[in-house]
Amino acid sequence: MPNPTIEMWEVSFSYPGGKGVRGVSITVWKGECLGLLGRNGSGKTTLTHLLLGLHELKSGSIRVFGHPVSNGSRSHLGRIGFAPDRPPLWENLSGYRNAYFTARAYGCSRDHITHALEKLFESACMEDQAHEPVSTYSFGMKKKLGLIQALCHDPELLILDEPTAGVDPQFMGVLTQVVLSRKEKGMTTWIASNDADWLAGVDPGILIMEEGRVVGDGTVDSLLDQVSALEEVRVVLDGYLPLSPPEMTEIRSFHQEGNILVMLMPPNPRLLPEIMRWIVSQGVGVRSMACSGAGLKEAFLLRTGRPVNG
Amino acid sequence: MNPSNVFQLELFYAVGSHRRLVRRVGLAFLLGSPFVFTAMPLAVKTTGLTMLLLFVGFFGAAVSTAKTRSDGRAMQLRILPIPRILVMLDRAWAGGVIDLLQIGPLIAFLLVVEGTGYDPSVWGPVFGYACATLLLLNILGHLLGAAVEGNAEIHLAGALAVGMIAFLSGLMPAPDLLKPVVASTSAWSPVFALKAAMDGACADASGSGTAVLSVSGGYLGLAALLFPALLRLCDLPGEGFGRPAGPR
Repeated sequence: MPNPTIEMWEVSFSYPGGKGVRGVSITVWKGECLGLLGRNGSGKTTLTHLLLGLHELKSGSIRVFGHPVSNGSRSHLGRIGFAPDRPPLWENLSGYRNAYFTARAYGCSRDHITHALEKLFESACMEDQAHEPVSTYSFGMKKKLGLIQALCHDPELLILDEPTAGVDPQFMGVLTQVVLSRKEKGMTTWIASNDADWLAGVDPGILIMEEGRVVGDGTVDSLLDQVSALEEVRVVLDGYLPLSPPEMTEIRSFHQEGNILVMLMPPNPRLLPEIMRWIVSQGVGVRSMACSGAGLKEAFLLRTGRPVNG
Repeated sequence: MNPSNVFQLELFYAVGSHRRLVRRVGLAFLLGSPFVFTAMPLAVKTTGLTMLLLFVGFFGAAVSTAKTRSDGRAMQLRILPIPRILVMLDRAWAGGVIDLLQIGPLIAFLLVVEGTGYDPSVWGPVFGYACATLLLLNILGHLLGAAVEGNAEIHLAGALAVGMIAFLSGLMPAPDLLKPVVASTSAWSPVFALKAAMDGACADASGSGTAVLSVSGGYLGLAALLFPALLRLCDLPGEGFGRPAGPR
């Protein structure tokens, strides 16, 4: 039986405004890749910060590599690499110097750093900008630098917070490679993201988070199975009019955001004109209607009733 | 050279932009030069320079800590396996050295203008007290910056704290009732010791007073800032001190 890398028991934390996480219990085993899938504000980043000891727990406990996180122990931090959503950087220093400092803080030797950073900057296609000040970097380049810093010491546990937000498709490919190669090597990865399509591609174990709670879990395949017989119908209305779900038993999920309706239902050509008629009868026109096959996004919609990044 | 520890990182960050460095040193010089080059009583000159040092050391450290927190760099330091006390000390040592770059020339000019000439037995203790004061103010500033929640409040708290330190160090006139309190607190204050050292050095040079210099205390202050700073600049102590053994 492998050792658990992360153990969370009944973890709760709340910000003064009331948001946070409530009663979350998770175990991540060595070599496992876990994806937290949730909307913005669902508690993914808070849970990730709790894991790193950046917030005080209200109740529950967290152990990482067997070390309790709340007692101020820092020794286990050397085995973790964290790439935050917005990497905080020393802006007037070069990307290389930022990464060099981080690698030294993780105890890497100078020889290791030279080789590792050369390789990492090259794989991120940033070798030409490595010695430029960070203040000249775009957001995407800063994200890449954040990942380089997280990977420079080859961590046993890699934590990625919204890794695909604001990056180009080429870098998303690099990210996919990183995660898949870590899976092959049996290294643990924790990903918090609302990018269901990318998560489905790296095939982690999925935890669905909503309003600070874990509301569903499973492998990507098992979640896709739940929606394999459904399709997503997206309707753009002519104007904004709040609508209640129609009384059609086939509609498994109904959600409205502004003038966009998102529904999950079995593929049935007879239903679409019926929906169209129902919308017009409510007093609003239809600008467009599109159907697509169901994926992880739709599995999320089915579970929570709301689109993951809508 | 690339930064291997927080001290080097902070130092490189401060001197990495030449424009920023010139602005910092230039502004301090602009604010401090009236206390050096204009005709005013010696006590006013030394009090003015000491107040400037208080603002630069304490206020600067507190604001820098608050800024580090608001832009997320404090979080970045917290997730690294570096003991928090070492992070704070490295930042205080680096802040002290940078502040000395700003205030040191003004103190040197004051000693020259007031006619002491270069005498290591006078300059050493004066700069020693300046180093000790800057180090202590940086530590206190970082503690205040970490304790105060909002970035806006740091300015109010910082200004109040600077006023309090100045008062307790005897830089301001105290009412009769509080004179015994100020006398006892200023006896322990390096801020008072620095002002007294400057007063003593300059008064001695003009032949109008006696030096109030504790040479050993001054050199101790010099060592407290510059010796660790030199060690950290050379990234000493090396591996295993404040960082784990990572990939070789």
